[in-house]
Amino acid sequence: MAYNINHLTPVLFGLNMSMRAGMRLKELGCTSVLFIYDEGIKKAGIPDQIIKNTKALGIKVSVYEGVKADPPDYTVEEAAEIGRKENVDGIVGIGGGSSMDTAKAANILMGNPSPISRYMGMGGVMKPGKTLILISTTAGTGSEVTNMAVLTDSRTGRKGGPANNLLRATLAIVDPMLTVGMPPSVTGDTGMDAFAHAAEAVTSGQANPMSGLLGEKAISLVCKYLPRAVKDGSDIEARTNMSFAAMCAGYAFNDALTHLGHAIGHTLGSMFHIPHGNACAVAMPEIMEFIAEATPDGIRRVGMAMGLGTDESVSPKDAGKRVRDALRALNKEIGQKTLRQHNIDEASLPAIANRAMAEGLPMFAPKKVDSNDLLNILQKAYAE
Amino acid sequence: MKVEIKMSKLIRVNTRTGSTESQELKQEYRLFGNRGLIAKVMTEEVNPKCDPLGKENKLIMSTGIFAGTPLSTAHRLSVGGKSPLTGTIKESNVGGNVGYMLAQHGIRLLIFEDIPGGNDWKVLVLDKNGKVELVPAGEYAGLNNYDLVKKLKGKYGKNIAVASIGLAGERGYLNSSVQITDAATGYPSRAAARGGMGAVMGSKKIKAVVVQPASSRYAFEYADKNKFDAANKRLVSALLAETSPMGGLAKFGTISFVANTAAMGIIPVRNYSGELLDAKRLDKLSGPAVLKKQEKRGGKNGLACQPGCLVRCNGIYNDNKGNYLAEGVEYETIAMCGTNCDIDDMDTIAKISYMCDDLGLDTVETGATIGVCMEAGKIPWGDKKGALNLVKEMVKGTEFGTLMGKGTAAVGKALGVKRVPVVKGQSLSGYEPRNAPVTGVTFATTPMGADHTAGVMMMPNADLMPKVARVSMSNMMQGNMATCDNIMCMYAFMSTMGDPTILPDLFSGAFGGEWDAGKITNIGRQTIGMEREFNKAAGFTQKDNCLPEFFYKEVAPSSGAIFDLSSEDMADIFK
Repeated sequence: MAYNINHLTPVLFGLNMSMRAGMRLKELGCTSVLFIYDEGIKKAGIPDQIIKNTKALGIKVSVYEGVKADPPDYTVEEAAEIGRKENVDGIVGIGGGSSMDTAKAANILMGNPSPISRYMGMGGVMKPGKTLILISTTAGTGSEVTNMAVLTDSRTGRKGGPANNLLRATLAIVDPMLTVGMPPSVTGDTGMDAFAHAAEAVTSGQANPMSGLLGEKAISLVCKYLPRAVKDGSDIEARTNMSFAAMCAGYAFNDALTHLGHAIGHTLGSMFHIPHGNACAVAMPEIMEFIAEATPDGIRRVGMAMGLGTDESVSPKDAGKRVRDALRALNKEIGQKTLRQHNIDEASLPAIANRAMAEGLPMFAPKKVDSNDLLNILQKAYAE
Repeated sequence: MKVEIKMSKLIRVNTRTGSTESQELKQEYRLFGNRGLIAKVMTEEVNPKCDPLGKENKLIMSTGIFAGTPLSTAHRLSVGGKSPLTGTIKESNVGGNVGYMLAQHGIRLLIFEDIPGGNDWKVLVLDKNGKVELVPAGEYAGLNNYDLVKKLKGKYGKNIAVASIGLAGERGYLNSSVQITDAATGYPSRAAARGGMGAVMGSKKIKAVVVQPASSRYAFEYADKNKFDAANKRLVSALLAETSPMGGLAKFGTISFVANTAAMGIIPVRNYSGELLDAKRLDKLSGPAVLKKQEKRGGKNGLACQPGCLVRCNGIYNDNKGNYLAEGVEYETIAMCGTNCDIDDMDTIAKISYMCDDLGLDTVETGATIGVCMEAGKIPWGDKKGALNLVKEMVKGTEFGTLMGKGTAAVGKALGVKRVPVVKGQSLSGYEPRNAPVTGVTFATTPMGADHTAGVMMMPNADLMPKVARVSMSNMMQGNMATCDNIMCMYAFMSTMGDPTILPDLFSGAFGGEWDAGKITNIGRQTIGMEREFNKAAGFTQKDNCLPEFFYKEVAPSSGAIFDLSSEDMADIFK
């Protein structure tokens, strides 16, 4: 078996470490830097001290504050335009997946001609961008350590994006203190995104021993700490462990990739604008049950990490059921909305299944999947 | 010049009776210098519980292990005793030419004992023939250092070396220094600044120590002079090498540290707020910026404060008319009287520096005290005139000036300030401990009270290392610095590190026997051991080894760091 271990993004992890971004930019030799974030991050005041420090160190600062959810390609172009005009030698993305993915994609345009649509998909030939620091403010996306960016094609409305090791950050800064302000629903949604990354990575057809290790750890931390973080946002221990879990899950799926959960998740996101993590989690119990027998080792590991005792003595089928039941309980405990609660008509399930199938990700599931399988999964989830 | 003195001497001066006595230095004292000699005398002769300004305390001046040899920077002077500021043992070491002149006379130790009853000031005069005498100094009382030295030179010759106190020492200010004449300028601009040794000297009514160049020079007896000379030659090459890390010191002085400490968030800003120094302020305070301005004004750099120094970090800072304003301003003075007070005007900082030298004050303690006054709102941040006026209050001896003379802790308490940057009553000397945590451990644990000379380490992100590693690194630095403080200036000492044969060969060339790094460092280790023994007997415990609470509670906005080493975490540092 041969596999890539590409999760080499250097990380500075710790409470309040985002304040050190300025010093790190200085150490990395930056003289002019573009900060990329959205309105919410700005309103929360998160960039203030970071930018103040950067300026104090004599580094020129430009900002792009127009990041949007499910980042449209044109926002990437807008950010890159500022970067080119200011001749920056560094980019800092601050926020959740949208801000970080916008920053990653804009950075690619600092080394390569526009438009960003030229660089969609895996691999491809491109040149490196500039020094890139990503500062995550949620505990879910893992984007701070991955080599891909998910963007929205503004003409078709479809999601896609470049995936290339040149997208990776020069440095990721994971500061759990920045996640303290997240409301319970966002904590739950983003936390389940991390769970989905981890559980899908462990059960992926492209899983490797390293992604397994990292994914299992992430699963057990999410199960232990996500309910606490949802219940009490100022629980620093829970926040710290969730940030770590999300980062591990990011490392895990960077190489193993995700499959059915994210295929459905992306689809629900683009069709109904359901928060990404919630969209990935909504059918996760049924997905785990569905793939259990195709990945006996994977499902047992997921169950073991969840504390369900699914060792060799438990059949894969039973392991799948245990994982399903425990996940349903977890979703309920942390207030994850169901398909019905999102007011999705049962009649639209076949369309969701078809579009999820077209996502491409189902090919990384541990067995061959068709749209009927996905419809079946969605119907079971809908019945819950 | 005749070369005939062969004995290393100790001079005892009884300040009550006026008697002086010359003794041969005990054999067991010969392998200690400066700080080590002070620790020896203090542990063997002084009651640790004594009143620092009373008759039981002693004022000690000592020279280095290699005093009397041509080793570069071997002639620092240490001034020590029990500190009235901290209540601990104190050794404050300084360049200048007094150490060199004492060595010419073969004197390794000067010990001032007892206190006189009345108010008769004396000057200790060591004449060219080696005669030691306490002479009445009524005419000098009330003078500050610059005028005092001018007058003394008029009487005893322009080539004398002087250790003196100004009004701060006379009045018993706990932040008062002993000032030493500089070899290059002859001005009393070198300060044995920390711990209030000026007040101890004042308590003994000694206004100055005057040393005339010796007519018969002490000859160091080498075990193997060729070996010593060869090692010394290697050190000279290292010091003068183009690649020497000390190169910036001759060009800019210690001001060259400002740019690096600013980048690492180590130079303190607004009473150790933990914020970064803004780039615009750095532009006015960095080595190149100041050098550019001083070149126009005819200022100088690259001067040797003691004869034979090849580091040459000393300089002259001129005003905008080209007149002498102060000696080259040191990093710690810029940090404490400048950035720590939000002042970025070098002329103001240099004025404060001059006033401190003249009155005989520690610029570090002075800057920290002004910072605390600003924190309290007594004067606004960055108020240049207000800062100068506060120093003038100390000069005049007003009620508030007298309070300032009691040090930063006393002023903080009187003004109700919660953020008072002191350890054991002595202010932190220009290094933010959250961003330089190894230095923070040194500040907390050195027997001297917070002091950078005990072992600074400026390593970015050292807070990410385990506590044990940070404590171990401070231990290593403190051992090295205590060793260095027995021998020479730290900058020259650091230059020996590139060739591990230099120091052992210097030792065996001078004293015979086999020497290695361990044996040499043991001198420093023994020194710290004696100092800790003294402090313990004085009543200090492990609980005293910690930083002020705010460094543990407030996150430094520059870096997100906090200081998280409790006194328990640092308890085993010297074990």
